[in-house]
Amino acid sequence: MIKHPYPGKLIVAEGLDGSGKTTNFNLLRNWLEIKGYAVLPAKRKQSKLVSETINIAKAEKTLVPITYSLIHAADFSDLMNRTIVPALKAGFVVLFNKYIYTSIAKDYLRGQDKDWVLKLYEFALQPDLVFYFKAPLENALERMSQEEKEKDYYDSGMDIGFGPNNIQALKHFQAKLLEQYDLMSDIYKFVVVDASKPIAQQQVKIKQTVEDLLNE
Amino acid sequence: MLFKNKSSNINDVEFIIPSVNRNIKSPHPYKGTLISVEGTDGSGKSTQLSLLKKWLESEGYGTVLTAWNSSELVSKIIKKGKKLGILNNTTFSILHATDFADRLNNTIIPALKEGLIVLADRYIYTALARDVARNCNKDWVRNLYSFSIKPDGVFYFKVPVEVSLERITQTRMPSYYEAGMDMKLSSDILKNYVLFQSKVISEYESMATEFDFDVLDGTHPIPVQQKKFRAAVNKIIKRKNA
Repeated sequence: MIKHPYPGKLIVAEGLDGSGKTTNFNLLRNWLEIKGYAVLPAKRKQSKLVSETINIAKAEKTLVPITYSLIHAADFSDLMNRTIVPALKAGFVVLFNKYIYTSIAKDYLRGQDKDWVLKLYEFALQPDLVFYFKAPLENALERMSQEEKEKDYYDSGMDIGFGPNNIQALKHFQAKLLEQYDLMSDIYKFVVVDASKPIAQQQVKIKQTVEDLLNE
Repeated sequence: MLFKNKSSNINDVEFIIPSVNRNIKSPHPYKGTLISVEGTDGSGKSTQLSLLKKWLESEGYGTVLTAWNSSELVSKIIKKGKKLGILNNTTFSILHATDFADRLNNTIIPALKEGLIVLADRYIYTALARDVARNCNKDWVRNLYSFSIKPDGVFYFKVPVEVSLERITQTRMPSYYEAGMDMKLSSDILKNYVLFQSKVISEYESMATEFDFDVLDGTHPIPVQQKKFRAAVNKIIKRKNA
């Protein structure tokens, strides 16, 4: 990963779906904007060029692990080049919800070689901060089950043989993903936020950490 | 679990899923034959490949032709990105790798399993030459394409850059990315083409020995090249079926 030389800040949220990342980042954004910082929210699968194709291919189930991996990397590269880098150059605070750590973990779980996928994402910019919203698996699964949109074939790892049905698959796949986040948290020095605590309490820690970064 | 607990060094990262068998330098295990052609635009490789295909079919072989940037998955967005001129070197590179991976899985390997002869108009060496000429890191590009399989024969049609340019400009102007205009080597598209494609050619030449290219002189008369090409391919097929 490359350390960026830009005046903006890149702040990342990682963690399972249903761990409160979006809620916390929305509050953080609001707080930052009130303080006068320009904020750009970002997430994967958002590039103008590639994201639509990914959605179609996922719906049609035409992706195998290698193309799943590469097309997400292409999407990320386009987003980085045409959206994130210009925003950082302009001094924005970019709040990125699920960054390459999620991509790397998912690619590993799909059987890609560790060195291969780490090298693939070498072009990514190193975040200034990574928050890891750590929630027990059961809580996250519970919240995922309340979502209107059901997790798709790939999100539950059905494409790589997790099963036998979507609910079982989701449980197994998300459990594996949680293991990866926990282990990466040590390696990449994530700032751990206890997602089982009340939101207001989580926000105190988040705002304090961000404030320290902005005052550096 | 993937990562060894408590590790803070990326080199200590432990991998639990057996890595996919990748080797771009040893022969593939399938019964079919994979032949690829490489060279700059205007080197005559597509012409030679279509003549080879005619001949192979007249000899009774089943063939499948696969061209660079033709996958169902991403070829349309690559074309769109090129037309709009919005691809940086990394996006350009990864999108082409995605295209190749899709064809490898859906076209090339299935055909090789069936015992067919697969004719690839450009293969990974195009990316290894072009992306590096476009300032992508060499090790990074090689890693990117390491999921590939090795062809049974790689034929490099060698022409000087002036010949390549002359052949192209007889019918059209070079396109933005073909000319490497994104590299901003010159404001003149023809000059830029020569500068960029010279870098591509020098990358090809540096790979010729390493990847066992069969080099054919693309300035020779078409039937002369074709005769040599057929003889060499014939040898590969015979060896393969021996």
